[in-house]
Amino acid sequence: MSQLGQCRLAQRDGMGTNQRYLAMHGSNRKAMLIRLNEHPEERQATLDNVIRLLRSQFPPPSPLQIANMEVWPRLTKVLPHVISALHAFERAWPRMPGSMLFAKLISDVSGMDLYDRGLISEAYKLNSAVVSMLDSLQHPLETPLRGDALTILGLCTDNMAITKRREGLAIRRKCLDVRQRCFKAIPPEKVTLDDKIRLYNSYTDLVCSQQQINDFEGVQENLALCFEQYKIWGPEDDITLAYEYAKYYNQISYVLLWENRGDEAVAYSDKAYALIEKASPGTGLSRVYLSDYAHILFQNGDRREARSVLETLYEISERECGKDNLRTLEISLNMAIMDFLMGDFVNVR
Amino acid sequence: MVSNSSYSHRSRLENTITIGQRISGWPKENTVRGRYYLSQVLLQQAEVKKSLSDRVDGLKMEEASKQDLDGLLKLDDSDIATKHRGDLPMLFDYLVHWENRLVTPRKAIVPATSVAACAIQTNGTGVMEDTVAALNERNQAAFNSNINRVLKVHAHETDERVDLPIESVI
Repeated sequence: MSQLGQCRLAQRDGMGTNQRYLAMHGSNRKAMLIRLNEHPEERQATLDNVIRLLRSQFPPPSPLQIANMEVWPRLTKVLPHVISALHAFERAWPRMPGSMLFAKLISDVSGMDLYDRGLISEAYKLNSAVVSMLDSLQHPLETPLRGDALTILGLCTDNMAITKRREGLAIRRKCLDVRQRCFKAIPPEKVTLDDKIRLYNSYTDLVCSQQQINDFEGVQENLALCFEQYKIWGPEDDITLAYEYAKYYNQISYVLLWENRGDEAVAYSDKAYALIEKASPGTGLSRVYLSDYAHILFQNGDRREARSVLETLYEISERECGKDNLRTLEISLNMAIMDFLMGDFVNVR
Repeated sequence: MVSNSSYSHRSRLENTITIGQRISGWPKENTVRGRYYLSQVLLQQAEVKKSLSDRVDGLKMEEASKQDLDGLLKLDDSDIATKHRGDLPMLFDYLVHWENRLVTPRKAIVPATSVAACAIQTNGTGVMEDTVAALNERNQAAFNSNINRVLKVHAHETDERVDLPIESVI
């Protein structure tokens, strides 16, 4: 490093502040990585160091995969480094074995918080890498980390629309199998509420795939299974369960709409938003639930009110996630479609 | 004269699609759905302005989106394409994430008369009678809710003339 510094190929910056960093040209970095390939032991030690440093900057997030807006600044800081470390790892030759620590770091960084902010392709790529790494390390199917990665992968496929719908369903079925195996592997006396929540989360995830294909009867069946459990675990005003109940009310509202019970659908969707705001305030998921509420309201005939909710949501999303963010753009598209469906054209004519 | 809002629908759609295609994670299905609505805006404008070029552009875009729709629906195992044939808002919505849809299919309502007939046929078996009574009650509730929505939509129409696809009402 000192040699690079002397040759002015690398520069230390931000000294004396808490934002110290090392700047160097990308081609130098690539050259160093190629050179490291000639020294596999040194290369492994370097990667371990990178993992250790990044881990210290990014403690594990919610084990229940609940998004938390306070995680976002930390995530923004480590995400480019994790992507860069993964690229280096994938391009290393001879191949590197990977490690559970690395897989866990990638999974944590690309978990619900990354998905929540609409960084779908990044989340998809990183979680696919986690699954591949676990496979290459020959970890058993019932590895909890595999279930976490598959959960996020499934959610990503929802956003990737019809092209990935079949894959999404297969991922969710696999995830349910993994989580069932994980659950069975825990001695009954050691089963916690968190373990049960993780298992039933895979049912609500499977429901997302059923919603995609308008299988409302299947949705209803699986949600009833979950709802019975939630009631056993505790009431919906229990903060630890609000997130689970929110998912139930949000998803069942689409079933109610299908059953021609629009007013109830609106009421349930509204309830889902109130609960998710309690459990996971200010997150992208909370905005998604508000957007769902607007969509259901629109389909139940309260079109002006629905449009107004979506407009408020657009302003928030633009401010918090940016104009070019996937979620912001999807809201914008639906606002335009709502405008068209509400049409001034008839009056014009 | 074309109202300003028609231009704003058009420009919002055009801008969103253009930006969307540039960002990672934007599915092409969003573009296909957006282009279909854009084609409808163009066709509406063409009608109002008597503009041949808008009409040609609109028709071309509509045709291209329908072809994309057909291609994408081939990736699907369900019977949605045959079940909702011709219901373009429903089918274009089916392409995208379920939480982005603005058209949800509705369960067919069994006419109250056929349920009543069923009740007569099963008279004498207590359990069935109960089931039928519950069914009847549910259907009546669904029917009432539907009528309320239709009335609401019509009330809405009197001041702003809402043009609803029939499937979103029934």
